[in-house]
Amino acid sequence: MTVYSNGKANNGSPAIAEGETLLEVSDLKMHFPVHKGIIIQRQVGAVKAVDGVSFAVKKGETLGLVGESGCGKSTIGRAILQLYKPTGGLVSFQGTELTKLNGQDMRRMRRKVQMIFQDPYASLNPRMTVGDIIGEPLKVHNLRQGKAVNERVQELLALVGLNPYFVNRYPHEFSGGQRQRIGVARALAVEPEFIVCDEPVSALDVSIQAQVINLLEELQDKLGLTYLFIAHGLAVVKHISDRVAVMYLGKVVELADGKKLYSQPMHPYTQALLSAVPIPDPAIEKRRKRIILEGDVPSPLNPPSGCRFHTRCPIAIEQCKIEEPPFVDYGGGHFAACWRARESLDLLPSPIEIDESAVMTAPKLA
Amino acid sequence: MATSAGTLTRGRLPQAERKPRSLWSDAWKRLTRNKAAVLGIVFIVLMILVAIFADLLAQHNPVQQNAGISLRPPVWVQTGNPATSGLSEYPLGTDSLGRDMLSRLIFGARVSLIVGLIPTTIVVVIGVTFGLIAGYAGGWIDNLMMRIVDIVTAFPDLLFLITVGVAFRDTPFGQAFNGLLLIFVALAIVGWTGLTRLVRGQVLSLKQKEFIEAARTVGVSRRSILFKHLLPNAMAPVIVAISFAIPAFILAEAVLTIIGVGMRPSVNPDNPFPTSWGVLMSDGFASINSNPWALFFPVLLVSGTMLAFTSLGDGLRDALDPRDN
Repeated sequence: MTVYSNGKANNGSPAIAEGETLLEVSDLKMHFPVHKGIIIQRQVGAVKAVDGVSFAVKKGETLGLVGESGCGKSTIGRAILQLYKPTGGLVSFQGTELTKLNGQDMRRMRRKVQMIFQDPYASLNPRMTVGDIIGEPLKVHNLRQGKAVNERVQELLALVGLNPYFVNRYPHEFSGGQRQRIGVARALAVEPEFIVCDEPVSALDVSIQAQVINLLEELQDKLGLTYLFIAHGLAVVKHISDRVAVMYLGKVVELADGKKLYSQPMHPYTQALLSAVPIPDPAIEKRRKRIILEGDVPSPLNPPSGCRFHTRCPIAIEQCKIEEPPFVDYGGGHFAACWRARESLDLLPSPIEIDESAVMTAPKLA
Repeated sequence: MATSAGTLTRGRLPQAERKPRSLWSDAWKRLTRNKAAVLGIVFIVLMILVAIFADLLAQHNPVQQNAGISLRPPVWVQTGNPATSGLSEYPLGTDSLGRDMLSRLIFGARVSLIVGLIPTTIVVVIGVTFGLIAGYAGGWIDNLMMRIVDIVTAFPDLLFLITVGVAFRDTPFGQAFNGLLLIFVALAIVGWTGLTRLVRGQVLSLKQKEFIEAARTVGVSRRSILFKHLLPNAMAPVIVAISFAIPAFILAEAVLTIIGVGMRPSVNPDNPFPTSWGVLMSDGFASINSNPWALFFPVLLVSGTMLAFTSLGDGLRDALDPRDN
C-alpha cells in the first residue's frame, strides 16, 4: 500500500512552515452584472456579492467564515478557486497569484486547492460510479496509472471511513453523510494543502453533522490540511475553527480568534448573531437578553451608504450613515469594522459563552 | 510528514463486492416491466430483421411486373370470379402493375426504417452538439446560436421540403439512391431544432449543479465536462425525443412521397431499395376504388411502426424518470 504524503515533496513547491501565511486574499471583489433587454443587453447594475474582502489563512489553521444566507460567503470560496473570475482584488496562494493564472497553470494549481461542497446530493455526478468520481482527479492530474488508480480510490475510501468495496456503486445508493464522505475523498484525491469547505454539514442531519466535522478534524491532524470553513451556524464554526470571520452583505465585519470573537465580540452584528444561538439550559435562556435585529438584509444590488449594517444596527450613529468604518486591528489580531467597536460591548447586552454542547444544535441563520 | 493511510473506522461492514446498480440498468429493468414498451421493442426488432433479410423473405422480386394479374386482392378474398380473386402465389395481392404486394412491403420496410434512422442520426449529431455548445457557452454565443435555431424553426417545414425536393430533383445529388439522399438531408435540415432546444435547456439546468463545479474544481477539461458530465445526464430526454422522432420521419417520408416530391419509383430489379411504404401508400391511393387492399397494408405497417416507437418512447420516458423509483 502506498503511503499518504501530503504533496510537499512531490509538488516541488516551496515548503511553508506551520503558522505561516498560506493563502492571502486582498480586496477581493466579485460583482455579478445584471442585464436588461432581450437582444441588445445592457448592464443596469451589479450584485455586489463580495465587495472588498481581505484576510489571510495560515498553514494548518482553520478559518471559519460565517454570515447569513446571501452575504457572499460561498462566493468567496468559489472566487478563491477561480470558479468565478473575481471582478477585482488578489488571491495569492503560496505566493502564486491565482487570479492571473491561465487555464493550464490554474489546472495544475487545483492539485493544491480543493473544495468540499454543500449539497452532497448535487455534488456527485449521478451517472458515475464512486470509483470514477474519486478516480477522476487522479486521472486528470496523472497521479496514478492503470490498476493503481483503483487501489488509490479504495485507500481514499478507507481514509474517509467508507468501505473500500463501495467503488463500483453509484451515488444514489448512499445516504447523505456517506455521500459527503465521498465528496471529501474526491477533494483529498489530489493531495491538496488547502480545502475550502463550503457549508459541508448544513445539508446533513444533525447527528451526521458531528460525524463529518470530526472526520474533517481528524483528516486535518493526519494530513496537515488547512481549511477555510464556510458555515452559517456560529456554533458549528466555533467547534472547528481557530479563527472566525463574520460577514455581512459582501464584507467581513469582524475577524478574530475563535475564543475572543465569542467572548468579546466588537461588531454589533456579531453580538446579535451570538445572542441568537440557543443555549441548552432553560435557566440561562430565561435570563439572557436577545438582540433582535429589525428589518431585512438590504439588497446587494444597492447596498446602503457608509456602514452597510447601519440600517439594522441598534447603536448606529450619524457617522455610520456617511462614512464607511475601516477594517482595523483592535489589538491581538482582533479586526472589526465598526465606528463604535470599543463601546459596543457596554451598549449591548453581553453575549453568554456558548457551551460546546450547543455546537450540534446550532440554528441555521437562514 | 508521511502517515499511513489506515482506516478511520474500525471494523468493516460485512458486505462483499457486488454488481453495481447503475441508473441505466435500473431504467432497463423498469422498461422491461412495461408491457406496451416491450411489445413495441418486439415489433421494431421484427421489422429490422425483415428489412435486413428482405432478400431471403420475399418470394418475388418487388419490381417484377406480371401482365394479367394486376390489382388482385389478398388470397383470402374469393369473389367467385377467377379473374378478380386472390392468388395463393401472391398472398397479399398485387398492385396495378401486377407486382407482388408482400414482397414490396418487405422491401419497403428497408427504406422506411432507414429513413427513420439516418435523418434521426444526423439530427441527433447536429442537435445535441449545437445544444451542448449553446447551453454551456452561454452569453452572446448562446444568444446567436439560439436565434439561428429560431430562424430555422420559423421556416415552414413542408414548404422547405417541397422546394428543396423540386429544386434538386434532376441534379446528381437529387438522383442519388432514388432521391433518398435528398430526403434524408432535407428532413435533417428542418428537424434538428427541437432537439437543440431540449439539450440546451438540460445543459442550462445541469451546469448550475454542484457536480459540474466539482469537476471544474478538480481541473477536468472543458471537453470532458461536456461529454463525460453534462451529456450523460442530459441523455434521458434525448433518448425519449429520438424514439418519437423516428416515426415522425417515417411519416414525413410517406407524406412527401404522396405529394410527389419524395422517393421516385424504381424499375431496376437489382436495386436494394426499390420502394418504400410511402411509395406503396401513394400507389395504393391511386387505385383506391379498384383495390383498396393496396392502400390498406402499407398504412397498417406505417401505423404499426409508429405505434411501436411511440409506446417505446412512452416506456422510456417513464423508465428514465428517477422520480418514478
